[in-house]
Order: sequence, then C-alpha cells, then structure tokens
Amino acid sequence: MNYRIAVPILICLCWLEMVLESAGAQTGELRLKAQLIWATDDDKPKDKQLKEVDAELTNKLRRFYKWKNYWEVSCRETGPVTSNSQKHRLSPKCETELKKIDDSTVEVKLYGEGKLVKTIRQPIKLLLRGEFLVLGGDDKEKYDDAWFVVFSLAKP
Amino acid sequence: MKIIDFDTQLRLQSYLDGELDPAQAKEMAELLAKDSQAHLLLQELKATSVLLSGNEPALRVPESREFYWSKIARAIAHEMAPAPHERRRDPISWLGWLVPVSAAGLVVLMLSVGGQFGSGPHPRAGTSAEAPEIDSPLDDTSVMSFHSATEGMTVVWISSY
Repeated sequence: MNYRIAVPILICLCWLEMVLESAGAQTGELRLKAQLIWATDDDKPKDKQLKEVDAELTNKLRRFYKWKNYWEVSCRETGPVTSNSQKHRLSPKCETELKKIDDSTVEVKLYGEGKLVKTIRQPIKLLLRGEFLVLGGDDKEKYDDAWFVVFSLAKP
Repeated sequence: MKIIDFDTQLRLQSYLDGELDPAQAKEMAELLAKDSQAHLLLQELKATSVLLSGNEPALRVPESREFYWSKIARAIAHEMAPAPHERRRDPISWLGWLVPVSAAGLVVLMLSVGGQFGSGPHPRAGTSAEAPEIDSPLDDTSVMSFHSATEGMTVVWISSY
C-alpha cells in the first residue's frame, strides 16, 4: 500500500465529512412534531383530556422551569417541512407555521389568537440531532401557569 | 614481618618484565638490596613466570595465519559498513511526503473556505451560529432565548405586558 497516497486521501475524506456536517447540509426530509403543553403546579383536572408529557421532555422542562406538572394539550406531526409554508393548529387559539428557508434553516411562526406573536429561525442540524425547540409564555387565562409549544424531530 | 603494599608489588612485576624506566629500575634494585621480603617476592614472581612459559599448552588454530587474520579483517569491515536500510535512507526523503500532504491541506482549505462562502444564512456579528434568530412583531412582548447544548434545548420565553 502506498501510504503517501492513502494518507492524504483519508485526510481529505475526513475533512469533507466534517465540512458537510458543519454546513448543516440536510439531504433527507425534515419531519417535525409540535406539542402544545400546559405547565402548572396543580393536579390534572378530571374534565380535561390531557396526556402526560414523556419523561425525557418533562425532566428537561423541570430543569429549566419551576412548574411541577406538564400536560400535553395537543400534538401534531407536520409531515415533510418544505419551502412552502405549512400551518398547523394546535388549539383554537394557537397556530404554528413552518417553512424551510434553506437546507440549514427552518422558520417557525407562532400565532396566538390569530396574531403573529413570534418568528423564529432555527438551525435544522439542531433538530436533526434530537434537540428541542421550546417556545413558552405565561398563561393569560390562569395566573402562574404557562404554555409551551415544543418542536422536535418526529419519530419514523 | 612487613607486608609489601600492592603498588610496590605491581612495580616489582613491571621490573621483572623490564617495563620500568632506568630511574625506576634503579630505585627498585636499591629496594631489593635492602628489603628481603621484596627480594623473596621477586624470586617467586620469576619462578611463576618460568613455570608458565614452560608449561603453557600451545593452542593451534586449524587455519593458516593469513586466513585467520583475513577473517578478522572482514568482520571489522562488516561492522563498520552502514546497514542496508540506513544506506537507502535519503536525508531529504521526508520531502516525498511533503507534496501529497500539502495537496491534501490545500484541498481542505478550499473546502473550508468554500463552505463559508456558500449559500445560506450567516450568523450575524455578536450572535452564536446556533442561536435562533427571532423577530417579534408585537410591541408589548419581550423575548429571552438561550440554547443549551448539554440539555439539547433551545428555549424562547415570550413575556407579554
């Protein structure tokens, strides 16, 4: 084996892989899951159809926020996120809009009561890594409670 | 009985072998005339020398003198010659690696620079490449955001007034 040829080729291949990964190139479909979550210290109300948030996400939220309980109000799978805007309703008052800006960025718009509240651009590579994008705010209807909209990679 | 010191014993042996210079030989002769112990030792050394030279077994090499010495000469020459791999080593052979490694480095540099100027958004000055870009169209809201790589979360908190 001619090491003088093999070693430089190996170096180039390793760097090519690193450059592509750092550039955030994404070759497959991006499918996300959007969860509307209610955070409270109260126990779960009996008359509401709420689901317990999975343990991983609950633990992460508890590390950042003060609330004891996190209930999933609704959950939507977005389907492939494309350069065309897609709206998804999570509740009568909460909507999100997703759009792929380019291969490395996704734009998330949050609507509350029909009004655009926030526009966020998130690097796709973070979502592909399994990270969460968490938007949250105070619950206007109940003092000291909060709402969260959590985006994560949809499981196949 | 006086014991002769070791240095004197050695000088006696040298005297017997004829290895002392004239001044030292004269000194030793004077000592032998005065010191009976030294004289006795000299006699002993003389007898031992005669005994050895007359009775030492003669070992004969089963080769001619010329062949025997030529073998030694060849062994010396072989010891002094450089090893084959050392002979082939070129003091500047590392230059052979320089060209391919430099080429690889140039390719890597071009890819890295090309990646930076490729299409796609660039992080604005003062922001992290992984921080979300946020636009807040409502005046009565404030936003706090941060990214935790260890927790795997980007958090955006929207406060309404």
